[in-house]
Amino acid sequence: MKQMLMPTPLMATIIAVVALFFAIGGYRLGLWEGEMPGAGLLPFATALLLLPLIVRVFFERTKAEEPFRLRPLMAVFFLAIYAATLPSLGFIIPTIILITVWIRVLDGLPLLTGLAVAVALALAGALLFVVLLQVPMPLVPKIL
Amino acid sequence: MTEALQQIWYGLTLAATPGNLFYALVGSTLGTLVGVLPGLGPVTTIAILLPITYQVGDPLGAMIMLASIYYGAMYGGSTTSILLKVPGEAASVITCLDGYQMARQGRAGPALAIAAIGSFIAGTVSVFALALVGPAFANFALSFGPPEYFALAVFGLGLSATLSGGSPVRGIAMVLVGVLLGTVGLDTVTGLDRFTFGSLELADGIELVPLLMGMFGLGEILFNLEQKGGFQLLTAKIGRLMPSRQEWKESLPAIGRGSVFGFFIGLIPGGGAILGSLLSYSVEKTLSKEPEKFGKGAIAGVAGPESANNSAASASFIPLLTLGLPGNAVTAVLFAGLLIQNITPGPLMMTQHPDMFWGIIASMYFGNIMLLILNLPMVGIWVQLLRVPFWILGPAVLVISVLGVYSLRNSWFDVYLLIAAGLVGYLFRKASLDPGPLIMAMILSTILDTSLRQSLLMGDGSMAIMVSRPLSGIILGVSVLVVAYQFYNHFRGRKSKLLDETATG
Repeated sequence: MKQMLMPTPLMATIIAVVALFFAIGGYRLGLWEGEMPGAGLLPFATALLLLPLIVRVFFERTKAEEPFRLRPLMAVFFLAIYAATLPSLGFIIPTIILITVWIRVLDGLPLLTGLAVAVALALAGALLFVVLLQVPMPLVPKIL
Repeated sequence: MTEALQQIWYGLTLAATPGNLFYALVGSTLGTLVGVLPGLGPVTTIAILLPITYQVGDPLGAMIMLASIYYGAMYGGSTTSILLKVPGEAASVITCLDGYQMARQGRAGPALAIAAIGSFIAGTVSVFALALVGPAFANFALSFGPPEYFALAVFGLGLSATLSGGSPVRGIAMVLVGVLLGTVGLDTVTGLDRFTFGSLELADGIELVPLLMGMFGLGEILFNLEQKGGFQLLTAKIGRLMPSRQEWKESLPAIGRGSVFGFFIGLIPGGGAILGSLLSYSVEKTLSKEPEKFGKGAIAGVAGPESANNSAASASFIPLLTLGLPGNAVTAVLFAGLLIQNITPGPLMMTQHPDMFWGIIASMYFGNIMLLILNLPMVGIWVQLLRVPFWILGPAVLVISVLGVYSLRNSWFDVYLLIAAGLVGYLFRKASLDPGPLIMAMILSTILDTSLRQSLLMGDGSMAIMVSRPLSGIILGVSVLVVAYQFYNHFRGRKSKLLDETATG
């Protein structure tokens, strides 16, 4: 089980599932429609070619490979929460919170350092994109 | 010849307006600024900065800025290779060999200068060669039918998958994943929805820019979170910048050879910069009177590969602009840049958008000039950027990516896609799966799909048409040989390594 969670076997398994999804989906879309090749032909054929290769990748030696580390996975978790809150809270508040937490938790630096960098980066980003380049990104919560 | 010069002149007059020069200046500065940051290679740099070009408005101005970002990023990559031994991309690995050794010997200045000057000369040679070869290539491409396009796409993908240096099995697997992802969206032939789950955002396919920025930019940031202690800056002082007379003598022939080799290799779809710099390095080492100096700070080992790298990168614009085939990850990102500007590269681009075609070629030259007159004297400032700690760099890239991606279509979906692609990019990196071939395959998927189906129609349902037409048959045959050779080399290498390990262990 532990071996399965190493990067190569895990990715090979995910890719195999994706390939199966495309193979079945391609078959359902139709490989041949009357006189014409169908919309599912390329995905179906590609998925069939991919499956044996990915089985081979699954079993390739993974001796030099390092297991997943906690910090990037925590970062992805923070990013997911960040993305979920952006539409309702706007850009500034989630960005300041994310970067502060990122620097405090992931880099182990003092909270105030994180907060200072977070405020500076969020404001600089907003100034460049929203004020100067006029990107219509909401900056503050909808209710304000 | 005269016609080619006239066309270059036409391109130069289009590009040399004060506004476009300003874009070239901003582009090369931004490109170097981001490209020199440790851990951010040229592909990542261009991907991160791509949305900024969207704000320019004028397509030619945007492409000039993009080309300048490209050259700036390439130069930034050379700087980190020489001073930190951190290659921004596979092609710069060769520069590390002698460039880093030169820096250790206190010759960082000449190494950086010769990298920039070599790139400039190679860029100049290749821009003129492009103007000569480009029209002939486009005319030739007009005679291509679906089987030829299918064969060329297979050839480019086969080469890029197996020449990136890693396992060819993984490379080809990534290409196939890219082809699958490229089929998502509305099928242009039958009008059927393919794998969109009814989502309107996916009807036009998976948006390329968030995917690129996520896989290359955010994925890199997540991967770098694993590294402890950061990079070791060798020297903060560059010292003398200009090479000595002896160094010039050793460098100039290498620059000349590198420029020519690089150009021809860059013309091959999937060939690109890696092969160019590798070949140049081995040629220089073979021709040198002191081959033992290579790997220990030989300036020809920097001059040749850096020139070949640049020349191949410029030449790879030919298959991109005349055939619509991006030959490597960088041109794949530039392809996305062209699409953002509503320009579809292909054989008709030269007749339908001559201003863009010649403007882009001329703009590459501007990118090169800016690099030489602006970036080289400012190398001291760029070196200071190497000190930016990662805990500032990571969040800064994140902010730029989120705002940049949102600016493209004002869509939150693209921001979610960016973050998901970041996670996937990190997982790929961990599993030694290169996302470059995947992105190329995604772009080429449409060509593969339509050309395969049209070819099958032409051949009454038989694949024999692919090999019975001489050109497509030859291209497919060469593709099979090259890929098979790479597989053979890979497995033979592994077998001998295993034998060595057994013998010594």
